[in-house]
Amino acid sequence: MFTIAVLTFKEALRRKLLLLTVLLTAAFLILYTLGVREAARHLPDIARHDPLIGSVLNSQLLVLGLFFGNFIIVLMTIFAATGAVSAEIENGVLQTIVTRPVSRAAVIGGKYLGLAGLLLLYAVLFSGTVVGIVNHYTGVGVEGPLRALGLFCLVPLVLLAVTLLGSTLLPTLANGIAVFALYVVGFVGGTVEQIGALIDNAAMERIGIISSLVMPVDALYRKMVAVLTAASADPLAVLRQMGPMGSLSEPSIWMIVYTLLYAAVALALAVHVFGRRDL
Amino acid sequence: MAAIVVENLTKLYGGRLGCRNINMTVPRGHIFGFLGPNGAGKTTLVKTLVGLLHPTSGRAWLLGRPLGDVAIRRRIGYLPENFRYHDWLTGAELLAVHGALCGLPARETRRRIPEVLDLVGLTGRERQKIRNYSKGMQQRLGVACALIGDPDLVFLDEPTSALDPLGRREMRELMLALRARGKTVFLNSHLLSEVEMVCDTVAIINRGEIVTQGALRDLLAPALEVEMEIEGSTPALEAALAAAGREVKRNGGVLRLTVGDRAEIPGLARLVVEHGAALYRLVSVQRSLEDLFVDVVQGGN
Repeated sequence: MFTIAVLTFKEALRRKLLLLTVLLTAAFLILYTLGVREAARHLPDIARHDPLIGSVLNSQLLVLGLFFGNFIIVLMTIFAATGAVSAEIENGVLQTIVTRPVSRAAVIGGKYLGLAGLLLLYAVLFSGTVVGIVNHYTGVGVEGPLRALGLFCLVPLVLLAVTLLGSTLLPTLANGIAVFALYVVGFVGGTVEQIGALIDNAAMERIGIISSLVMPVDALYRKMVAVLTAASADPLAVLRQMGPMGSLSEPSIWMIVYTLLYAAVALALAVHVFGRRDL
Repeated sequence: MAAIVVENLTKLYGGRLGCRNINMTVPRGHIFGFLGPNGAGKTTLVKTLVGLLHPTSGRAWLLGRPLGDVAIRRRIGYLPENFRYHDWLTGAELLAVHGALCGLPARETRRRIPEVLDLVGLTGRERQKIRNYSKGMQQRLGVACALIGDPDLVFLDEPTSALDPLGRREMRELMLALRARGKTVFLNSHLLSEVEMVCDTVAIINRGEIVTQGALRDLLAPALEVEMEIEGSTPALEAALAAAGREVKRNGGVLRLTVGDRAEIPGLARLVVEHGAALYRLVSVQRSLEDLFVDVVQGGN
């Protein structure tokens, strides 16, 4: 399994997708740094005219950065893993691997670990940089950084399990589209839930919960935002977490437990399907 | 103990036939030729044996272990028909990966890499990226990959399809060298001359079923053919020859007869002389594998 994990990691590392992601991320971080710096420079003026906006601007900028990072990592996970199994079945590379003394479960496990290693590396570096930039220019710290980092890293881990499962069932392109559509369902549902929480509409909140059960990745992101921006006993916390990218309606801990189970079941199903598949 | 035992193995693809009710035994230390026309089910059987396809029914054992046994694959090598590898690796890197997948210690893999590269004639090319290899070089590397773990049983699915005549000869020599070391080679090929040159035992598959199998010598021996070039032949002579031989084919002035035994040949010459005809040539022709192949495949069709 370790050999396959290393091979998968190296292969993902040398793909153009990663280079493109790194370039895109660099461009974003440069723009983001400029934006945060400008906002920080003009914050005293803004706060003088409108104290409310002044007090929530910094955390909104942080949420914006993490939202972008979350979105990039979602795309990166889907693109990196959508053909992890199917493309290698289609081109025949897997024929020489699965005939080795390696179980098919180990092939899936190795691919998962290899891709997860790369995605986690990106997640840690990106989230650390965004938090560092905001902290440097505004002095705003984050609450529960390790918990938040854990949640940020869970996003690619969960989505990777689902994409690998899809890759054992569907052709490469169809899988990419299916998983992205599933993610969009979760995201739109999550956004509806936030709006529902804002206007106190139970039906809209229920839609969000149901969509989170179908694809819980968005719930992880909302939970992370809630953890990062939750200043206890601060009445402005509500404002900090507002907006479609925010987390006014915080997912419960049971949602996190459900998400972990969801990923474990997806991975187990991927092993099961691949184990029975003719190659 | 046989290297491969197959019992009533059937593989259907969604009701469509791959291969049906296959029974075969491949002795250890043999080069086994598996023949058949295109689409007859050759690759289906090989892929089922190496674990890529799950059999619909039936059983098989490789080196004494049932199909699906993962550990025994340590002693099995496989070159797929449509060989494709991680082409962003160099030849040496690919062999190192496959050595590790075989469970070889790193030191053993480092020792084996130059050995197998030498066996397939790729020494000096191991630092090149595989994507820059020619098709023939990739096939050679595929054979090196199959041999990296020093397997006791090697499945080679059309191993010379991308090789030039010199490469084909080298591959034949490699197979013979493997046999000399007690290894078993399962050669899937439609190149009859190649199979005839190296194989001890063969099986022919047609429309998913085995139509004949056995030692090559035994399969070709019973049909001893004699070619005769006769001038001044008469219907009476031809009737006499037809009565003496089992099967008579005429091709211009050349008659081809199948006889049951070598001792019958002098009698044929005598018949020609007795009927006053002139005998210019009489040669006994060993039945070729191609003849056998055509007979059994066309007979089945």
